[in-house]
Amino acid sequence: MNTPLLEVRDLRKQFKDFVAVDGVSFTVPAGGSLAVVGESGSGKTTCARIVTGLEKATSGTVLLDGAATLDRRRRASFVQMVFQDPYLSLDRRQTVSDCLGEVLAHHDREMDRRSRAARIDELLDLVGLDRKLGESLPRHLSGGQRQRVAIARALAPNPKLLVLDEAVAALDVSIQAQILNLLVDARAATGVAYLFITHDLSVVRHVCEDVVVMCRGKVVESGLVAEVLEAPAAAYTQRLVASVPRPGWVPSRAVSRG
Amino acid sequence: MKPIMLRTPPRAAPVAAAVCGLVALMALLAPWIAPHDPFAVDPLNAYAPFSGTHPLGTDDLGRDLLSRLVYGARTSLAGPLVVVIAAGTLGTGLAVSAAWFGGWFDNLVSRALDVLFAFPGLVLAITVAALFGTGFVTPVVALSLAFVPVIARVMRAAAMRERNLPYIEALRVQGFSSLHICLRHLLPNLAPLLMVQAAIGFGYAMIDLASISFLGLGLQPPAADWGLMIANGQPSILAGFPQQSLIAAVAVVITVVAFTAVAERLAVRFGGDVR
Ligand SMILES: Nc1ncnc2c1ncn2[C@@H]1O[C@H](COP(=O)(O)OP(=O)(O)O)[C@@H](O)[C@H]1O
Ligand SMILES: [Mg+2]
Repeated sequence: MNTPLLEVRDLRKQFKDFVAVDGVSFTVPAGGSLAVVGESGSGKTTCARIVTGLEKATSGTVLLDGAATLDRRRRASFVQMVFQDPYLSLDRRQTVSDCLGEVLAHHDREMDRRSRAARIDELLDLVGLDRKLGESLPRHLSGGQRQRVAIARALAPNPKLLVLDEAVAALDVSIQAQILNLLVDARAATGVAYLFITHDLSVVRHVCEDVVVMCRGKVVESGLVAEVLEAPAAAYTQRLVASVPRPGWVPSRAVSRG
Repeated sequence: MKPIMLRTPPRAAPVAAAVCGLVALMALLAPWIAPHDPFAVDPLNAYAPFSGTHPLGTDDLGRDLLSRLVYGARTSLAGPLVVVIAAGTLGTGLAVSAAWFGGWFDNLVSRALDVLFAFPGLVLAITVAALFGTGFVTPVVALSLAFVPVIARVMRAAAMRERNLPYIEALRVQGFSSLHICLRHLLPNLAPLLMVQAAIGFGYAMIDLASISFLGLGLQPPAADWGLMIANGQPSILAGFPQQSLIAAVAVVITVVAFTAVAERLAVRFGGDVR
């Protein structure tokens, strides 16, 4: 069998005497898309941070392309991350082009000015941002636009794996849909794999094939999205699924307002 | 440093900035602006009243007060400037490295700053000047050290907040070095706050250095320096000629108020908003 892009085995993370992640294992195949779902506090973000190297595991292994350790730059061009809050995940002093250009220059020192500018345009196109917005500062952009910039920045080094931690949670529902579509398109265009972390089951179906369900630091269920969400086996997953509005579901508030 | 701030109305800010600029120009262009040699003694002309040749009169030795005031701007501004640059650089450097590395290093730096902070800056500066000699350099060095913890505390808290923002983590995930992130992202984002701290500190340093000169521990006669002029004018006040002390004191007050007003405006403009 092929080496998975990401293999997480028996991951454990302890903060003082609190166990945030307790023996978690999962894999992401090349080009795959794995959702990690669970209520807030179940340890999803901690897993994401360990995978991207922002946090050290207490024990367990994280294999990126079969390797346990990569140097900083190699790791960065292999796995990237998009954060929840698009208002705080961009440097407020940096224009969109500068932000992307800095990352491009970092990963490819040889790249000349012109090919860098071309690549910036390409990235802006990829995430559906008007090229004219390249000169904008984050404060002139909407939340959705900022998240597109963050996605472009993450895709800039051509990573094999993109970790998205609640990447649409801070956005309005209509904007969420746009960003989810963008993620689907970007994966089709680049072949990047996703580790898609969310507490919101309703956004999973659209973006992911596989899912692991986390509860209090442990994986309680895993499988294909279609199967797990249609016929959840674990009681915890059943509760999660039951709390998600189904297609055609109308909020009662809207009904009573008429 | 809780600024001793009056609420500056927004319209006063350009005026204050203009005053700061004028005082700075006065210092830079002193040789061209001053009508007389500030050191030229003329005992026969002591305590001359305001006149065409001596717009602000003369002092007890017959030296032209306007010229001394203009030249006095040089040391009176240079002292606080050196203090805020030195303390700003050292304080910010310590603050950012403490916030960045955290752990035992942060603890060590924070404790050291607490100890330094426990000494009132002026007392420290006076003690050092008394021990190591008077002049320009000693009080300025001492006061710079005394200002380090004041600036470092504010900057450390801000650097702490800044380094925990997701954009810093995004840069780490991109594999940028700590040095690159601190120099290219953290520091530039802290710069507005540092400017505010420097402008506030400038006013305090000016008062402190004037006090040190006043106590005779700073620059020595016949130097033209505002603090020293206030001190030298003292005997003349009793003789009924308060102008030397008065104009020097007014110059200090106006400059301090102007710098503080600019600082407040900057603070309102850049105040703590991270978005
Ligand atoms: N740096 C930390 N120090 C202490 N506890 C933490 C830290 N980070 C996360 N936790 C705790 O670990 C648990 C899991 O957090 P997290 O991984 O953020 O969950 P999720 O992303 O699923 O909401 C939470 O109870 C949280 O309080
Ligand atoms: Mg989380």
